[in-house]
Amino acid sequence: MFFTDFKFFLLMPILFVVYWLIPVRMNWLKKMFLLVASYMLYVNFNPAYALLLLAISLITFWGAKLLEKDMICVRGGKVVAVVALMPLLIFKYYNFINESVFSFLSLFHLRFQLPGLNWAIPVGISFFTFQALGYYLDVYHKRIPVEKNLVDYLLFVSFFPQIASGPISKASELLPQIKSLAPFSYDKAARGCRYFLWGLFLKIAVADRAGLYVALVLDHYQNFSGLNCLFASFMYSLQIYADFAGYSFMAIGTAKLLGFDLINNFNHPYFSMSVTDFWRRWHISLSRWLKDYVYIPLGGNRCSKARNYLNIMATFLVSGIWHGANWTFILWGLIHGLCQVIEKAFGLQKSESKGLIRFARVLGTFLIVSFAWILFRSPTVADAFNVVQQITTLYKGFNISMEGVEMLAYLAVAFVPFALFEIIHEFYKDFYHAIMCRVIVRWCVYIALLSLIILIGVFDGSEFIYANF
Amino acid sequence: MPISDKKKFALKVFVFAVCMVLVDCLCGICFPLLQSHAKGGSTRMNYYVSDECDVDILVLGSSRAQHHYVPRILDSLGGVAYNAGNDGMGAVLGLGRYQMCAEKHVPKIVIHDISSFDYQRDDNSKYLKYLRPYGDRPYIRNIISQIGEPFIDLKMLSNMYRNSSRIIPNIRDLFANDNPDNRGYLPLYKKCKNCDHNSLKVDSSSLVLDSIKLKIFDQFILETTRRGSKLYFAISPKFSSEIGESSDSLVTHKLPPSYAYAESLAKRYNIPLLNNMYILGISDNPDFFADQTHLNNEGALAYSRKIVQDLRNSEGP
Repeated sequence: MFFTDFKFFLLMPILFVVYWLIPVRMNWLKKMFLLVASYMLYVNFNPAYALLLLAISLITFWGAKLLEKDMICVRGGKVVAVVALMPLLIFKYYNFINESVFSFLSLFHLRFQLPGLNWAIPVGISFFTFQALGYYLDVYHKRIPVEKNLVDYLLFVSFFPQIASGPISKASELLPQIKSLAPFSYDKAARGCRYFLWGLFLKIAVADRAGLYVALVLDHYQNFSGLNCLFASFMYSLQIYADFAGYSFMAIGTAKLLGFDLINNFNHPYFSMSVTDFWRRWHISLSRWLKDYVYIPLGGNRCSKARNYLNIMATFLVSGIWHGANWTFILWGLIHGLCQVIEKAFGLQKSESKGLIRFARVLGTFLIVSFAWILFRSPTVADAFNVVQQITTLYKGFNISMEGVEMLAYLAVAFVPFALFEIIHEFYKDFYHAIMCRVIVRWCVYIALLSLIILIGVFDGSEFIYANF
Repeated sequence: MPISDKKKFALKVFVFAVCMVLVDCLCGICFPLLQSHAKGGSTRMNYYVSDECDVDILVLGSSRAQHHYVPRILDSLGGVAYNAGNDGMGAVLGLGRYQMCAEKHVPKIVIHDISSFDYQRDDNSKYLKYLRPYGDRPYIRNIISQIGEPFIDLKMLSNMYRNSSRIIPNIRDLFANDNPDNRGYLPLYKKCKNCDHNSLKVDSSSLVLDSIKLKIFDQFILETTRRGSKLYFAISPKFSSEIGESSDSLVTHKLPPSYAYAESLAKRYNIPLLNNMYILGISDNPDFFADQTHLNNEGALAYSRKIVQDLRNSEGP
């Protein structure tokens, strides 16, 4: 069940009250309650896939135990990791590999194809697989002790606020919080509500509004001018950020309401001065995972320059593949990797700028990232190419279709608080804290946000973009 | 004694909920005020149909209704006509608008321009767009409940939710400058750019019927009968350059499969079906069209005169 499902708004207060009514001395019951709630909410997506979630949890849990007791060798340890990855590989990549091999063999007039799988990808499979695998690899590398309590571990993997789209937590951060549950804290619960409200606003009022225009134009790009396509591409940049950050903030908020702290996944990514900086601010939990379990094991930057560049490209190739089984994602990942290699070669990734130069760098980074998002959104590379080609017709004249202008009018209303928050929080943090410590201002903001959500939000029950990854 | 964190949190949540209820009540006052002061657009039409309706001839249907029926020509049938068609809408909105209008004044004649929106399966919640603001009326609530949006009764308690996505049209329509003589009719003045090489295409795509919409369509028919309005189904012209070369039977009688259900319904309830989909003199004249499925003002005037003639003929001497 997603956060934007109306049922969740009815269920969450019940979960919250029951959870905090369970006495502190019965922590085991609190954990059991959260575990059952997490599985029940996941079952709501598809009951059969809850078994998959359980299987991945058990494989990594028992695998780690076997590692601790030295009952498996290094090679055996790697086999367990591959077994844990198998559901992800099969569900997400089987059809893609099968079709790609078929296309490749067809070049040599060999027509060999395995039957395709007609299964929906389990919601959040990439997220919970990476979270479980992260724990297993930490144990494998002896960074953390093995978890002995199965209930704690099952809850760590299935914790409902983050199951569908992360953030991908590290065992060293979340497991200790599960082991010793925090007592109720007013401040944390209040912050949880704030996070949730802001996330809901981003998703319902910004992302889904932008999504209507993006779908209108980019799904029928042939009927729109280059200017429309360019504008829709920028709107997609807005949509995907508001959609994913919205989910992450709601996850963080829900977790805080239950006394847990999750990693913040976003830090105003569109103010990045380079693509490298962008990845320090965008989907932070995935960047950290890839750094810890792909980039550093490959050698990181403690090797020759050429090897370092290769490591960056390999890491972003994995990032692209992680996002989806499609050449568009692979190319998207490679573009990001290539940009970072270039930045590293010129030393741009570390340099800071101010004033107009900073503005130019932020704009340049935004344009690169938005260009890459075109690939990310398109169903095929050919479609992405066509959209870009349509945009390049701009030089012929600035024709623009006014279709969908009402959608944009609502989006403009939602964009004002969004942009204000992004700018103030990034550049004027002290001012932000100074005004938000005034109760009257704070409450007016909360009431205005919730009213805007109801008045201009899109209630079509659309899913989160990243839940499909 | 200091209050515990839990009590403090519960108290703040309660105060916040009270504030939101107050804001919601305020919206319950402001939105009707905005709607009653609308000078045009969909807000004025909604308000007129729901609160001021006193017409004798009511036109319902989709954009093809809204752009094709000129009320001042339909007046010649005797009485005042009003065009309450709306882009992308069908019998769901039709039933709601008819009931709202009939609560004030029962129209003598109802012309429903048939479209696939009346019975084809798609996202039904979009048809509630103009009905939600009136969700406090039992007959509108009944339609909304039938569409089956989860927890709709709970959501309808909120004035803000009922008027969700209506604030911009409500404010814009305060400054609209519509011709009051149009009475809901929205004339199109452009001429069709791609109406030169069109062929008579018979829509053969399979139609998936929506059981909920069919039920509502039935209710619409029964409601007009119960209240004593004379209901007509109409199919307004579409462009076809090859019409003159086609056989007369194809032109005037044969309907594409997507309209077959309306035909069977008309037979079942003995409702006159005025089929002018491909009609010589209008359908083959590109100057009468704004695009291939919508007449421009010139075409609408010609078609309205034709429909008046058809209605007179159907009434008999």
